Amino acid sequence: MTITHAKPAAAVKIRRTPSQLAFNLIAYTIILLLSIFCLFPLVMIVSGSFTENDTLLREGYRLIPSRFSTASYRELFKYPDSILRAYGTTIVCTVVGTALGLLIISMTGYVLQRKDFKYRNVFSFLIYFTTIFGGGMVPWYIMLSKYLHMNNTFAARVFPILMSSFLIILMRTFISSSCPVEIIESAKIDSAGDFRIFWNIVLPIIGPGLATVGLFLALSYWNEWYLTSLFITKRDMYSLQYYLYDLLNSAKFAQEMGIATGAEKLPSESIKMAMVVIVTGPMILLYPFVQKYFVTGIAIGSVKG
Amino acid sequence: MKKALCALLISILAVSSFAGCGGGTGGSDGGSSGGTETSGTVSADTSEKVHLVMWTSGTASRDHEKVAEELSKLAERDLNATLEWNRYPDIQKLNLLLTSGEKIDLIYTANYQNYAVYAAKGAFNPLDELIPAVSPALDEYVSDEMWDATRVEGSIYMVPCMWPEYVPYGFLWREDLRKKYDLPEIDLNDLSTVEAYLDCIMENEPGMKPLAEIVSSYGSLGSHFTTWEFLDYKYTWADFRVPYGLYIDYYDPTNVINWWETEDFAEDMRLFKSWADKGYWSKSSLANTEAKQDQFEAGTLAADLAFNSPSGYANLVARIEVSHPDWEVGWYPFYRAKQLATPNHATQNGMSIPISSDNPERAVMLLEKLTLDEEWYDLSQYGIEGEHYTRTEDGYYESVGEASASGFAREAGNLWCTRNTEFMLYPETTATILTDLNAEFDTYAHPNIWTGFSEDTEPYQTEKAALANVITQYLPAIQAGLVDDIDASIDEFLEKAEEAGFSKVREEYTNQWLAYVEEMGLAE
Amino acid sequence: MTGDSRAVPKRRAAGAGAGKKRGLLYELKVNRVLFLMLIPAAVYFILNNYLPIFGMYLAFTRFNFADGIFRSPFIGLENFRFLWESGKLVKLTVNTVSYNLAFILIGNFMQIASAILLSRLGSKVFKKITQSVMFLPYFVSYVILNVIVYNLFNYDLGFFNGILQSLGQEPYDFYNTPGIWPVILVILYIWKQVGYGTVIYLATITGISPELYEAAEIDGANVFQQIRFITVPLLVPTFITLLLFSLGGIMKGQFDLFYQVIGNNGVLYDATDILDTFVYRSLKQDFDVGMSTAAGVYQSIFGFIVIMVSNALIKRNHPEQALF
Repeated sequence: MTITHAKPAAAVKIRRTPSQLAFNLIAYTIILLLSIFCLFPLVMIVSGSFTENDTLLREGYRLIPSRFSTASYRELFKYPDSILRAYGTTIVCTVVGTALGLLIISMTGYVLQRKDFKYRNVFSFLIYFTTIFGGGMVPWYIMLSKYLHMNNTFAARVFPILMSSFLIILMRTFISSSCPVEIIESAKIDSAGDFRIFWNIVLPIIGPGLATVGLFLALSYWNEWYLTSLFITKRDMYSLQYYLYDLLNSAKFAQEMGIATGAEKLPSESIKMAMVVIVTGPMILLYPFVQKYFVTGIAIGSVKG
Repeated sequence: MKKALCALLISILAVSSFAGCGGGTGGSDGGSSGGTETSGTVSADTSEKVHLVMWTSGTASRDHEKVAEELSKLAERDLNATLEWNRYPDIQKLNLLLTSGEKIDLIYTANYQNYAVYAAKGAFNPLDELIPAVSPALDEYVSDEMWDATRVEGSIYMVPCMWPEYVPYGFLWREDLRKKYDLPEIDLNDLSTVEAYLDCIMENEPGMKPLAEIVSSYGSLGSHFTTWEFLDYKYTWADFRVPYGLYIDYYDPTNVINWWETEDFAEDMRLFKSWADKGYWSKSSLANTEAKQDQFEAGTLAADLAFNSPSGYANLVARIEVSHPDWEVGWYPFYRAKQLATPNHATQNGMSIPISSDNPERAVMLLEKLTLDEEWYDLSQYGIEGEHYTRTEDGYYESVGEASASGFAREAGNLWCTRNTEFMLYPETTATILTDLNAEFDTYAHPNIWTGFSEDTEPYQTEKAALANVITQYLPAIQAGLVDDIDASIDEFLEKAEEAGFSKVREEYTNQWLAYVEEMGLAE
Repeated sequence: MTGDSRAVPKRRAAGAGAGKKRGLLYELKVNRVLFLMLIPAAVYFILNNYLPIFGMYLAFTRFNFADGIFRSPFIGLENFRFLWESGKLVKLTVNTVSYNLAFILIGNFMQIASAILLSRLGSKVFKKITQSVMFLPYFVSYVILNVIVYNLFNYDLGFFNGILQSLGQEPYDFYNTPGIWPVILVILYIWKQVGYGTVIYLATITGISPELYEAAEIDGANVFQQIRFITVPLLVPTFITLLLFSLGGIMKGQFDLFYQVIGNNGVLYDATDILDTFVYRSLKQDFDVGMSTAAGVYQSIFGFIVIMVSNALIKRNHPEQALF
């Protein structure tokens, strides 16, 4: 059993044929345009976050701040304890949830693509069924809060999004397309146990799949605010997104009810923009680590039993 | 469940008969004396230690838990209970809490949060017997009229707030600019003064928008454009929030008019269209969500057609004194224009005990403490003395440090339901404004007749849902004057509303209202 | 599998009614490890999905707090009335399905295209940077997106009208022109999702053996032919998986997108109203758990029919790619 770490397909291919030149021209142009299209509103956001709110209201958004200001960041980090704790709990939930979820999802995906597993379609159906039919929010909430006692526990922030049928089926597809039946068959002939096959043979060769599903899981934990809003009332257990959402919400509530008392005032536009930067920032740093699985890629085709 | 409740009530009645009645409504002077006095009236059995859960609206301030912990200590001392105080940020969460049967002993409810609907559907414990049995003090503190006003299908399900509050809308403008351009004084009985001001702004202040009206989703039925609130200045209706386009005149409540079909309505809408055409507000106003107040304070907005509440105004003035000392702000409350002020209805703020509560009697005792015990009151409303606020020599509230940076600002717990005139502390800057305005409103105040009425939507729930949709879709554009032809648009709107079951809803609503008027004796 | 066969006779002797050669008990015995590996997922779905599913019963009751979920009076299909009596059900269904189809088809096309292009770019740095950039929009919530959208499209100070005016053109009234919004909404959706989907396809492409391309090259296939005959066919299974998942939710809209961006602007509803926003608006004031569950049941049944039909069709042509 050998796994060849081949050079990426594209890198092998670069040759100066006319069709390759044409392709490059098209590819670079399209990708460049697409990137600009994706980047443009983000530049507005970053620029907005570095502009004072009054300036935003007077002059609107610009691609480059007319007068540079870090006021909104100073405002958000005014109480560094709270926001750092939110970062902390979010990082922990993200790491724990992603690791655990990834293990279970890949295990399940592996079983569901085993051709010799008679009930794979039944289980696939049962898992898929949950995406179409559900009892609605209220019974689900009762289940988790009343019977599983998840109120004000980190379990409430981890368990509900630990997996999804989408990710399981996606993983199933990844495994079946990148892990030929023969490998598993030959391992079975060597009388390797099912779990060992999964752990020693399948897991190492589904890098891109693990990276993708892991990234998606990590994102859903990182962006999580809804579960916190339902199950968490303790401020020091807030997730990062909910902490920020809460800042926005507290003043909006008072305003909508027409009973704004005290000194409450809607957090300004520029603070909203700064929030995006604060949430997105750490993920940008993380992304390159995951990205190498897509860019370099571990080619797995040349695996022979 | 019901049987258990009856048994409980009987036992409470038995216990309370020993306790005698306490008239502890007047919290006299000091905090400690208030504490001892009222504790005598608390009468149910507290030998077993319990855990109480209270929810109020809004989101938790930075020091919310700290204050809640202090409060829990008081609860342990006075009630042999631990207290957990949570917040629900929106009506969806409130719904979820009640529907899922979460264990809650005390929850903030209000007419604008469907108090009556929940009460009618059995979400709360009836309090008719529980309160007098457990807390004679509370029973006495709340006046009979206020108790009656909270009744839903004959029973009391909330302890209302006894602090009278006026929350009118009013026209807000920059008085310094009016003076600068030497314009006539703003008088809502003469709209030309308003138009002169707005026109002048359009002409002379290029960086400034005259108005920035938006769609608000806070209404009794669907969304509306905020110009609608402005109309409150001219109509002596029972309330501008009477739904389904019905007009109930305050002085003639039995005469229910289909206002949307009247020439008056079309006339008003034409006025708004003329304003929209002049460019008082943006053509994209229906999509705008920028907060008016932010823009006003940033100096990019000249006026707000409907700015809410004296305290909102007082706070704004206080903030502007700091940020723009050279400005002067004017506010013309609509009450003044029509010489009719109606304070908040009893059900505007209150506390209810959900049926999921295991300790209804202890919940009542908790509520009594929060309302009538000054030590409890100060802590729950203002936070920890010395850390969050101090009391000035003249008896004013003073925030420790910058008010906006406070870990527990004044009334940050949104315990509006326990507000007590006796213990209320104002910041000095706002006190005079509030006192003056409230004194003025008192001179032409009339009891609130409409907001205590609650419709039973059961017979027309389907139609109401459909109608809410039609209203949200068609009405804001008309109110914003952003349609080509007002009359044609009104016709189309009414036609769609009719298809949604408008007549049925109106008819049912009118009948229920007339029955209420009859029952309450409002007809004369 | 042969190694386990000796267990069969024993089991057959002991097990009552284990007559069938490949019954459940036999499977449990032979593949017990596989079953064990499924347990965590099974527990999750039972707790998180299957137990609460009984709440669907709420759609057929008039809920009250005293009686709770299972004792509230049964009222049949009454809760569904507001859907079809609104007279908008057909329109809403058409809107929801068309938007979702546009999202699915255009979205997947863009994702596949950008994945293929990205996978074949020579410059690693360029590839890395552009891919990161394309993923960034995923982090921008629709609340924030709406602020940006308003600043791009509003009449007086909007970015685009600023450009139009500087070119001497009349400003365009986006917010009172319903017809333009389907286009804007689809673009926004693509903007937000393109990076996310690209990752999935990119991961699949990365899994394709380079030998295939090398062989093709030896046979004289140019880049376009390689993409056409190697890459695209190998992306089909992933595409079908994604497609089937989206189809199941064809009646469930992108609520956040529509709710945040269109919000309360009724002028645009004819072109932009989907079932979720309609239900939200109808029930916002007095929330009724029965009626909202009823709407959910309608969405589920619609999705179920669509998915059963499409799964059957796919099973006929690509049995391997069928979901179940």
